[in-house]
Amino acid sequence: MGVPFEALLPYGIIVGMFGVTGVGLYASKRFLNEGKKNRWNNDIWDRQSKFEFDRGDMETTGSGNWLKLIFIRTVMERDLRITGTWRGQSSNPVAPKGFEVSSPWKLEKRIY
Amino acid sequence: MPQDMPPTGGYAQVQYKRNLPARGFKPWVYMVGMHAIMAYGFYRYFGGVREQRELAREKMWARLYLTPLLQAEEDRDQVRRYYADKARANELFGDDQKVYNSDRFVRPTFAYTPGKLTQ
Amino acid sequence: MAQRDPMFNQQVLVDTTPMPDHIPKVEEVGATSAPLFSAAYFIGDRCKAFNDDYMKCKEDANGRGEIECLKEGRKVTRCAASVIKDINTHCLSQFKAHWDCLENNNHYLFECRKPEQELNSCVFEKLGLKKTIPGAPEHEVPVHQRPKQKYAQYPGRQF
Repeated sequence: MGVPFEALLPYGIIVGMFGVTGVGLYASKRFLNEGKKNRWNNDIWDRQSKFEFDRGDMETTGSGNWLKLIFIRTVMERDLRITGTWRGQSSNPVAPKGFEVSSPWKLEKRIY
Repeated sequence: MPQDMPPTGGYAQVQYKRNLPARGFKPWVYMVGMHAIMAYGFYRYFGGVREQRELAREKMWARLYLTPLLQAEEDRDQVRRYYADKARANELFGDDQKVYNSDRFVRPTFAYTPGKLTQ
Repeated sequence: MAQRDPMFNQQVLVDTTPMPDHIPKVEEVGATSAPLFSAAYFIGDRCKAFNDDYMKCKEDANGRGEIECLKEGRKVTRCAASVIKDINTHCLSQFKAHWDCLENNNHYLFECRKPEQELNSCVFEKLGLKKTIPGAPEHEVPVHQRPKQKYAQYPGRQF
């Protein structure tokens, strides 16, 4: 006696949903990384920290308070300054114009 | 009445031994086999450790060769900002203000950020 | 020196004042992380003297290296830029293949041995720069020349 096909429907749904999750995660990660594979297990040399700045509007940051400055440069932030995107790469020997004055200092509120 | 005596030819053997067939290999085979498997595992493990060590060395030297370049870039940036801050301070206070009682180059911990945002 | 990540930082301070005129200008290197990492050993091979000079200067300057070692720093930058420029002119396709591979594989050198081998041989032919890892055991094949890479996704023969 054969197995009724209704018994296999839940398994079909399970496998299909895992497939949707996998494909969706793959697609969204690729999309966030500009079509490249995700970076992972980054150390402080190449870490991408979570700040955004707009290249066209760089002088407008700041809030009129004394703020603490932190200095950690990472190569991924350098990539951002050179190419304008986190994952953009360039093998140009000469930096684009304005690179030497575009370095961001990260700020945090002073704790009184 | 005569005394009770053993039967002629003696009593039958009492069966106290179990008569089970010995399964499997000899014990030393298991011992040797276990050590062989473990030895192979350790061989692969240490081979991997050595390769990891070499890979780490490769990565570190690549970074060491890049460090002076990135450091020089960062230093120029620091110096540029240092002179910019100094020029602004001179404009405000009129003369050279020395913040630290040291001739070392100090990266500022605090900075004044522009209050009015330019559009 | 504050050496920790900022907590809850939302703003950045960008100062666009250019370098004062009494300090000679130098063009910054425009190569980003993957091309720099790919070319690191060639930069190290050609620019070792400049690099060591700069680091020595920084060490000897006793905390004033940022200002006093600007000249050495400019030499370091010019030398690195010359290496990148030479590789770009002579081995562009191999270079691009290698750093594309690195960028797609989390900057893991062991995933990209085939392009690396081609880049290394091209650079050695055209520019005479050689990749050597200092301090590696001498009786073993250097890790970048081993045909099998144990930690690569495909651990078999790479080239």
